[in-house]
Amino acid sequence: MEIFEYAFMINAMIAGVIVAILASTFGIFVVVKRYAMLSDTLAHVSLLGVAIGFLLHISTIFSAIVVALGVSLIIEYIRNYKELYSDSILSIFLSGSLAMAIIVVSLSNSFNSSLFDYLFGSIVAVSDEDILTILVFAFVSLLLVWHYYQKLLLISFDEELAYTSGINVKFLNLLFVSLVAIMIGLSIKIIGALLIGALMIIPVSSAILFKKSFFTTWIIALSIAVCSVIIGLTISFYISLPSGATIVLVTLILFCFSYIYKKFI
Amino acid sequence: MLKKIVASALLVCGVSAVAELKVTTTIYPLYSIVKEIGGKKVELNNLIPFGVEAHGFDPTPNDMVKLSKSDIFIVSSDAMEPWKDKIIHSLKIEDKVFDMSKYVKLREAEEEETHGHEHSKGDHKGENIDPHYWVSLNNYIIMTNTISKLIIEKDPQNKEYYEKNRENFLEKVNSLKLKYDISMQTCANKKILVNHDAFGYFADDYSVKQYSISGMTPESKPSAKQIAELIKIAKKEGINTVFFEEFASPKVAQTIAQEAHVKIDSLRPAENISAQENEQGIGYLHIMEENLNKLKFAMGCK
Amino acid sequence: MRWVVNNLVEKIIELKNVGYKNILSTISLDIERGDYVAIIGPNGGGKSTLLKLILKLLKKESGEISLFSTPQDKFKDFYKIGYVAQNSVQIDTNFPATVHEIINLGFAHKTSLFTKSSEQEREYMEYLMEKFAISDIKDYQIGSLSGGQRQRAMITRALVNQPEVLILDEPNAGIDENSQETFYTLLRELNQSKKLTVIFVTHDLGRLKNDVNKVFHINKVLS
Repeated sequence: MEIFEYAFMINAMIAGVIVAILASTFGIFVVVKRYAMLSDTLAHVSLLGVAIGFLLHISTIFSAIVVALGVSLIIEYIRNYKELYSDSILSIFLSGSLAMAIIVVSLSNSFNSSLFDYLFGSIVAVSDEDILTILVFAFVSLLLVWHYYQKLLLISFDEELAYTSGINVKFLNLLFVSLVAIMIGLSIKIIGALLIGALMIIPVSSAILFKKSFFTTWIIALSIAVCSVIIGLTISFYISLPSGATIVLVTLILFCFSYIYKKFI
Repeated sequence: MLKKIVASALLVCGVSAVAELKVTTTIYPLYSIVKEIGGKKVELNNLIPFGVEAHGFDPTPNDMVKLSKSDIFIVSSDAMEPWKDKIIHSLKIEDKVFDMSKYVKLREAEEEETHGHEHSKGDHKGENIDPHYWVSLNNYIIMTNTISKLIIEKDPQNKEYYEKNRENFLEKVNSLKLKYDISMQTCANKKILVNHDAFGYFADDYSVKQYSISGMTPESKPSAKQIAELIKIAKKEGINTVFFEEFASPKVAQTIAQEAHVKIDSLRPAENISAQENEQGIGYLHIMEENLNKLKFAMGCK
Repeated sequence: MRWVVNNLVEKIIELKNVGYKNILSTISLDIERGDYVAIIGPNGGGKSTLLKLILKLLKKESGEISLFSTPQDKFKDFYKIGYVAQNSVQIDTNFPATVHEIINLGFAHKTSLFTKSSEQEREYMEYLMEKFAISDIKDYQIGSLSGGQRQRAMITRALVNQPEVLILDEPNAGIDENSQETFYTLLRELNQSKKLTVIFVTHDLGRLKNDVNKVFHINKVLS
């Protein structure tokens, strides 16, 4: 197949599949915790990190991860006090970080400050180093999720119950949002800040419609996400469409199919 | 069967006959030159689609394929194409890159006083250059010569063809330059107010004072204070036209024009053209000629 | 098995003058190993609040709480306490997990990459699911169960880990007449044979009368 003759397409496939696996794995916990907005918030916070990277002339991926990580810990800290609703906290940080990103970009006054690059990502232009970085992170974070799988599931199901079962809820929540923050920081260069949320939420939402066990739901979500990446990239290769957007569109189409299948068949 | 053999024979002939040079450019001004010089002997592909603003660009797989098959990749500058490095890096085509900014005469980007923060110059060299160097016809001539030299170097067999094309094209460019040179000596008020300062090279060539609304990148939005200052400037400096460029929102320009009771008109940095224009054969020279007429009115030239 | 037969009286839960907002004031009570305790009182009288204070879900404002002879602040082994909340009948009905998966979460605190529940533990889980009549519905989604089924599933989850104390907040609310009998019998058995300390919150003592050895009436200790 022509598509596999090009190293950049193979790189795109690998990077896309890894991001899909990570996004659906974290996505399922985020969705069942009714915390879906976390992904979008952290994506916008990462943009602020990118803007700061431009300003300070340091690696934008590094600054994106550091800022996302920092803010995720602050969000978790504030959420613990339960004085504000979770979604309000997330909204505050989402718009706040976007506003700050715009100001920081205008301060840095440099051409390289093309935030666009990070809004939609460039999956067809990932480097070998990008792939290596995300591969290492994927390995470590998936191992951690596997290690804490039961505990994370219990926390997602009922935080109070987890607490009374002697589980270190605070630590695990912190670990979880940190991993999500790092994942988003790493992914925005590949799939884009505006689209990573979609890849986390839409496949999981489709999978939940099938009303299966948690594990099966995760497998379905993962399959949908991975298929979306492969189908999306292939379509964008053969009919020349922007890759990131095509991938998200495929997840949406698969969501519609799932919905119609469950409702009418 | 026979058909098949004939077909494959033809295919073989075709392949051997195609000694075509494959060139990819990033932005329209580069494309316009390669198109003129290379003519039918060069398979040309421009990354930024017609009608799209160049600063934010995301390559499609198709772009990547074409680029990976190109013999030369001509780019304009880091400032204009911040996204090019990752593409080059990803495709590992560092040796095919030809950076035009190394050959033309560059000017520093203007720092806006309103921003009130110091950039230590030389700290990050090359980042503060004004990337719209093709707006100067002098530079455009340099670019034409550089590109024809590059193409001849890569495809010496067709040297004569390329040289003839260059001569023809330069003749047109030079005659336009002459028009500019003559008109610019007769202006009453050599000041322009533009949307984003893409006309610095033109301004430098003819000692015109350029005021801009949004600085270097069309993405950054001017603050309310800056807008107020621009309205004051427009009134004080006797400016009769606020210019905006296509492919960017003219809203702020409209506001200023209304407040200062002056005309609003488009002035194009020729960064790109629309697909329709391309079909009609309207290109760089045409745009620059149109610009000249508008500039003559705005600055009161004869 | 973790249950240790201990002839000495061991205080498992101890409250001294515990107060919380204007809901509870100066509550003192002792619960010993093997006790079968009923906490009764009118609706809204602070029974659930008392449980949450014991479980550290709410922070006490005054007084002292000890769990297993350790001050509550330093107490870490909450897995020794099984808890079935009152609101477990009102969970997220779309939650994508089966009954079996939820019950299995009883082992969550000790399940990791390196450790799994043992064969015996899983057998015990099967036994409990059988007892509570949820073996047949264990592959259903938790949200698709009736209130009573879900309540039984949650009690099973609390018991699989073989806790030393079982705290139940009005569990009989969702359980129908037939299963109530088996349920009470099972609790009595566990209480007697394994010295499981049972704390039962209810607004109606009803048929528990013969099982319990202590009854606390909120604000007013009866016996």
